[in-house]
Amino acid sequence: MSELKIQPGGGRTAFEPGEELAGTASWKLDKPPQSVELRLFWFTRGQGEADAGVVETVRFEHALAEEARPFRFRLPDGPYSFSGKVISLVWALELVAQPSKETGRREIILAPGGKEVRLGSLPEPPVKKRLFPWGRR
Amino acid sequence: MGIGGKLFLTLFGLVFLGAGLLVGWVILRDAAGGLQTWSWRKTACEITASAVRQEDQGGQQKGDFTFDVKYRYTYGGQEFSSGQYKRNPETSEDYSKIARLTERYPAGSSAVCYVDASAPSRAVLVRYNLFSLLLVLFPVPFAGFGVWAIYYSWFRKSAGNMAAQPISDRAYPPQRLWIAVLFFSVFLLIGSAGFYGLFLRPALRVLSAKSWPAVPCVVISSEVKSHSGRHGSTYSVNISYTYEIKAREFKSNTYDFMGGSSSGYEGKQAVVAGYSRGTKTVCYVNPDDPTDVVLERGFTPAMWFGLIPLVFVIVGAVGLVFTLRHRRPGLMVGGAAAAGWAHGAGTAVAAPAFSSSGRAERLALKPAMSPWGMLFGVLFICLFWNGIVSVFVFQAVNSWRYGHPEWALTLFMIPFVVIGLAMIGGVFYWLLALLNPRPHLIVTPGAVPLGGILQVQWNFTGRAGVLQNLRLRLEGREEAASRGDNSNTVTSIFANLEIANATTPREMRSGEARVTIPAGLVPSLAGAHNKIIWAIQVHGQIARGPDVKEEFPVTVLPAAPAARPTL
Repeated sequence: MSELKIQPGGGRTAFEPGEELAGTASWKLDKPPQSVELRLFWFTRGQGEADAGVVETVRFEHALAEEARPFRFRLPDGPYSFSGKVISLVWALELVAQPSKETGRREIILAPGGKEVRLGSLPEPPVKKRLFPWGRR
Repeated sequence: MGIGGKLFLTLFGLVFLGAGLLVGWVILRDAAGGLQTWSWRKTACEITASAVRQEDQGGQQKGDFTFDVKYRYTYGGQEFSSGQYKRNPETSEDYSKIARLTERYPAGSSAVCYVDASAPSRAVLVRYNLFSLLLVLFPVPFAGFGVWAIYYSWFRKSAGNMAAQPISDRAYPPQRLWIAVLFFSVFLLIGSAGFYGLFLRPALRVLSAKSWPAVPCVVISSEVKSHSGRHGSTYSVNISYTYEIKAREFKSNTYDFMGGSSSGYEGKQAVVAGYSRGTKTVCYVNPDDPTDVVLERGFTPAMWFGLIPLVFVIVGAVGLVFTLRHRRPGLMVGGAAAAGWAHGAGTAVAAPAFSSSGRAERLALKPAMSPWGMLFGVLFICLFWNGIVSVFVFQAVNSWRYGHPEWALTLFMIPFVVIGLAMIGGVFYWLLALLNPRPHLIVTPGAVPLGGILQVQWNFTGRAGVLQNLRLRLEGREEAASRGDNSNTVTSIFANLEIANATTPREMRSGEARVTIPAGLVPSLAGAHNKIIWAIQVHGQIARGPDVKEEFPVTVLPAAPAARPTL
């Protein structure tokens, strides 16, 4: 049974924009992979088709079947982790073995104060609807 | 997708796949037989008979004209004769077209024919036209769509399959640009071919015939020819006449350069009435080809129908340009590149973000969609919709005109026609909107951080005096586009900040206001399907005419470090 794990330093999962994120990536695979990639990325969940953006990738070459490697990222200024009525944006680290694509993932929060921004929903501004908009008011 | 949906889509796909394969098989079978003629031996032959024959139709000679040719040749020391011009008989409604072949292969002349070495009694004068192979491409989109529909219904990656893949792989989505390019290319090609065949070619012939000499000719028969079809009859002018060139008599039935048949009977009857049997008139003969002749060398009203394919040309061309120019842009995330960091080689760039104007002190905003843009957008959709609907409406109208009303088609078309009329109304609405005063906005700074202050200056050009009230507000909203079974865009407004509410003419014409961006929200985000949009909404009320309603997107950056709340 393969296992890929990401362990941020100090067990933290919430970060400020621009902060440094360091930790350890470890894996235990059935056979040695060609390489293992650690990706810092965000993705969306919600009512729309998913978007994703990889911000930085660290490639571990000459990887053994079982190994642990340290990593260090400088987190970007944005986008923030947020949860809205239509979209949620989630930051994560993903460890991907190549070419098998076996994957381990850890979600994190990247937002001011280390707190996911929650977006409310306001009503649409009222618009006077007229059948003939150029008619007499 | 449920099993019912899958079965429906599969059946739908099978219809397209079946039709594509059937048509493809017929074309390929014909092509395979035709290509064999290219392996046949080139042989000298002598034309023994050459004439135009009219096919019998119900015991009367009223059918199409056929090239009736006989030739003899010697192969392997043995003499053979054949009557095949091509693999398939050459027939035409146009007498002149067949007469031209009799001129090219007169009796007693020598020619080249191609003999099947394995069966020397088989020969043709003309081999298979290799350009006909292009016809094989015609059913490919139909069969391809059928395969795609079946594959999509059964083998599309389910959510479970997607979950097994790395989520970060979604940062590299496959570009399906080719589907749109193929779709619009088909429109462009079909429209271009139709436009050339139905308008351009006849129009060029009309222009060319202006210099052809007039020659006396005598009408030998005239009638309105009826062509029975699945949806009733169509009619054509069929006037046969003779004329002399260099003491030799020729015959033709070419009335105008448009040819073909259409639904109106009375108009054709009126033409035929002017050319009763024995009428002496003039026809116009191509000085380079005595069989190329026409009675009416000018533009005829029917030729204007040849402009209809231009709708398809416009839709195809605009669609292609739009598709290729608006390929999926790089993702923009407020603040990323503006903050100035770069990514190492080999990593996906999540945020090419803003241009150098990102932190510009002053920035003239561009509207999300100008009235011209809206007009062309609505016009494009209107032409696309009504272009297709008009084909069926034309058929429904004709069914009523000629006493075979198609009730089902007529009732079915009503909602489509109503939508088409609404679109035409939309075109007029946006035409009127072009007369509106135009707002111009300048913001300082050009990209504002969360918690920052945005200064907004506005002024109107044009008839600003017609404005009754002007509101400017800053809106922040989520916007998500979905594809698949229910393709739509969902929005949710999370911020709505009043910038100005002007009522006096002077205030409305130009003014200035400030708005503070709340710190606890999110910066701009422009994903392919998911967006955080910050925009200034300008709404100017107008008494008699469309209101001014324009949206000016602004860039909101992540909070400056000092403005961020502390842990």
